[in-house]
Amino acid sequence: MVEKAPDTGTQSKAQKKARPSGKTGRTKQKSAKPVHKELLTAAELEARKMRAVNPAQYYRQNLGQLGFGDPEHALVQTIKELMDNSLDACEAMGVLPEVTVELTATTKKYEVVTNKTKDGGVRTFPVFRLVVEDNGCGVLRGKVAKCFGSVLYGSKFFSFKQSRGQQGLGVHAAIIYAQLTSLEPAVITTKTESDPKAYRVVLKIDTEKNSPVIVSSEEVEFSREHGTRVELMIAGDYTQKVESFIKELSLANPHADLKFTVVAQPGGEPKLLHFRRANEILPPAPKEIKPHLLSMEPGALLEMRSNDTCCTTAKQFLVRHFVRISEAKAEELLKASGLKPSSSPKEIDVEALLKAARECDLMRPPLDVLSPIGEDALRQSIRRIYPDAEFICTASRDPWSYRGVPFQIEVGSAYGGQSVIEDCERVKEGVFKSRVIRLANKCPLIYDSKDCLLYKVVKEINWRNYKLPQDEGNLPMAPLVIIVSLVSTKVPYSVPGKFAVAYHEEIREQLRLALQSLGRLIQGYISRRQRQEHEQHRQSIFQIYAKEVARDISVLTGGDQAVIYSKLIESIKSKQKAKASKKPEAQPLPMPAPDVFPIPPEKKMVEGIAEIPPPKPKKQQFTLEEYLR
Amino acid sequence: MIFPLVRNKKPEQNLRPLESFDDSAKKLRQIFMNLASDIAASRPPVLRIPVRTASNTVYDEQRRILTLGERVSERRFNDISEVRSFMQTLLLARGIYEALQHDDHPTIRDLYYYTLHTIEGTNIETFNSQDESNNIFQDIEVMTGLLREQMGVVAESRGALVGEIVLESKGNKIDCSKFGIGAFNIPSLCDQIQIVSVDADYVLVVEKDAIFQRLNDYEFWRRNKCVLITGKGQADRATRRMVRRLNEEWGLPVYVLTDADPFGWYIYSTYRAGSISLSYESFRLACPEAKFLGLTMTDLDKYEVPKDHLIKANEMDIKRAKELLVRDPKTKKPRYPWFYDSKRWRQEIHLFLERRVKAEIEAKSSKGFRFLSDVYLPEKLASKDWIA
Repeated sequence: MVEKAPDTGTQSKAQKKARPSGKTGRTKQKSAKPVHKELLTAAELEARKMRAVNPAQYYRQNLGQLGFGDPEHALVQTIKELMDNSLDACEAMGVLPEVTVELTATTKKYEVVTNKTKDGGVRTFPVFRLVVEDNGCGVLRGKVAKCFGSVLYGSKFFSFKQSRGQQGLGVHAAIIYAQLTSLEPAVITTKTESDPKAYRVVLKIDTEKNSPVIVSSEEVEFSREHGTRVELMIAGDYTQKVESFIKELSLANPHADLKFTVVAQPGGEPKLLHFRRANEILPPAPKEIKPHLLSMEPGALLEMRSNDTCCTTAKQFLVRHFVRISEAKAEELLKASGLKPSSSPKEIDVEALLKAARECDLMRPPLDVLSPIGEDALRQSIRRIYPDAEFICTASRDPWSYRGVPFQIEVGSAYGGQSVIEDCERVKEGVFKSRVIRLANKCPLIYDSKDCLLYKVVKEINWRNYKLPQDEGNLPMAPLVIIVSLVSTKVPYSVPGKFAVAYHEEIREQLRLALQSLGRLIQGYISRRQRQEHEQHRQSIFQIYAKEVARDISVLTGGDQAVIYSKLIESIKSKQKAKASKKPEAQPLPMPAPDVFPIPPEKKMVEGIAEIPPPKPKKQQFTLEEYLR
Repeated sequence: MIFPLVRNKKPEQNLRPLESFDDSAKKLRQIFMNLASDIAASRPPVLRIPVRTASNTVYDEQRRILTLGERVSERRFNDISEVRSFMQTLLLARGIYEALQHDDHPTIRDLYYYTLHTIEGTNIETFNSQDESNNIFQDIEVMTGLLREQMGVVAESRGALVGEIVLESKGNKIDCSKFGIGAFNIPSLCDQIQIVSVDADYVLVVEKDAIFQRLNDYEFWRRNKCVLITGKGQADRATRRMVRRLNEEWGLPVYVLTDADPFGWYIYSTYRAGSISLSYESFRLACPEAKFLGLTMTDLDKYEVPKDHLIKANEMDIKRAKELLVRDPKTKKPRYPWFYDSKRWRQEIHLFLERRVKAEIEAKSSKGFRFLSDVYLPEKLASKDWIA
């Protein structure tokens, strides 16, 4: 609002006011330390400035990299990180997740100089109280501070299995962002199943030392038997993206019960979104596997080799730490990289070994380690979000691997219906552009769709083959939501914190095949619908003419017009019955009108195509106009 | 008189009664009653309509006229491609029926406008053009066996008649010998006229109005005891019907006078056996007794028409002449058997195709303005020099 003020006087005032407030200036002051006025060489000057940087500091200054670039992104990112942790915690314990999110705007303001207008200006954002509570496993008392208080500390970083958060940075970045923008500490309440009482910690992160600063801690009562509750005060820009995120997250987690309450303006009316679980089936737990040699970067391999203390020979090192390497394979690899199996692991030439690995035919990693959403669950989930969709279908591929990393593709779509239309971009009256929902390890990717492989492949498909209008290389023009899900032990994000999947040919190919299967299902539905519309056109033509004919016959013969009319209508139906008994045709589905897609009052939902026989080509296909001219 | 005469004077009480429109209305109603009972009995509503195409036009050797063959098409209500024409048929039939009930005699154009409307709840019109409506009208004619005249539907008419003949219409007696240099215009609904008395030996049909007027001017009909009729070119239905009635009801022989060219001959053919496009009406319109008086190709030699009075035949004439002798590609039967099977006609047509010249009746005037009326016609009739 301030930045848009036409009066320059108020604007400059606002700028003056903004500078001494210092919240943004704080980082600037630190980065620009006063230089001592001594006669030193440039190298000496530089050397004085040099010091070790710890991860917390690094991330504090590079929050943008983690998705905390501006208040809008940061708000979504914070919710995402906390909910990811919650869902993972529930999964770890094997319980059906129940996660509540409360987002309340406070009267507290966060002001920031923005360069979004030509001459700069100050933008004011509300500070939100964000509370995320789950029924997960909780955190042991002794670990709470470390877990939430030091960056890169956690269980996820070292494991090689499918999970939502991967770097283990998320929650820390959120806490750092919170204390940067609101100066408020995080409040964490957690209770494990065995602990009789919950434990509440109020903490901050000392970014200089990368260690937690506990403000206070106490024992409290907790409404759940186990779980964690995180409260943060963060500056945010509340947009529709937040709701989209919650909705899509619920789409990816049909077994989760998600409750979202938001008060977007201070003192405003709370709005509640409650996504009840679509099914009660816990998805299979993902399995942890050892890394595949092909997935290793040379540096990472070198580090592993250097830190290894348990293996005495190179052969042992390979067999013990990597998947799909038998004793024989290890010998073959070592021989190819010019080593004896009995050499010490320290002697391994990393680059030669990786070259040998690429050249010898290594088996793919085990593929049954993933936890996909599941086609049935995905269908139920889509139906939950789009209850009035006309057609819902899903397709999936068997697991596959890219560079030694297992992954699996699942896709789904919802076609037609008011709720789908509302989610699509309206191009013009009656024309809608499809929407793509991207999920990576069951977590929605909200931003950066243009850079994302999952999005690009959807555009690559020639949807016109499947009776969907489309401009070349664009999304199909139809009231359609396409859900693309990728699960993997390691989702290849293009940049950490970015919502974009990087290009891998194997992923592209699997996704393409899955989308084509999906396209065929959609095509089947559209064909069926076209036939019905055609049949409806026929019916309406008969009805139009029956009225006329009934009147004429009534005048000619003195018969009752209404009786003649009903008999005429009957004659059409009896003919169709006769036809139907001769050759079985597709069951007519009750369908809405062609152009718009209103919700029909009682509609049989058709899911999948198994029950519908393949379409028989019609002898003649007329349009209404052709009949009449 | 040169010609043997039979006085034709029927007593008035023996006159053929006029056709009643009520009968037509009843017949129309009956046909649709049958349809209605089909519908009531849940039988599929079907209209059976004889096919009006050239391929379904046959020559009836007994009656010696062109007539419709036996092929019948079915128009079903419950067929998507036929429902519209089904509706149009019923709609037009209703229009005709209503006109009959009110004793109105609309034209087919009237009927088109009467039945044209936008169908309720759509932007669809009942007819897209009058052609569509006319076509359906003909369907109704063949379907019901009721001709347009019987249904009281008026068409344009242009024929004229003059002679010692008394007609009666709407209670008025019309003496057709009292038009002076004018003539009686044959109305479209000529069956609504009674022929009260005729004092003539034959009917002379002339192709051209100009010749008709000249013969009338000389009162040829009075001197030669004949009824003079013209259809002014290709004859309309009313003229043909009148010729037929004079032949049928009064037993008058009919002679046709046209130009010496294939078009003239074809006009004769229409009077005699009917046309392909209206073959379903031949039974009322054609007059198989009609004889061709002239001009023949041989007349041109016989009456020494000067060479420079002959006109060079054009492509169309040649084509038409050849058509008169054509055989149907499928049935291998001649399309116009009265030409094909007649030795005399074959000669004439071959002569035409050989010389490729034609002549107008007016060419006779080269021998004097009265040559046609005073010499040519009486001579031809007296010597029975006609083609039967």
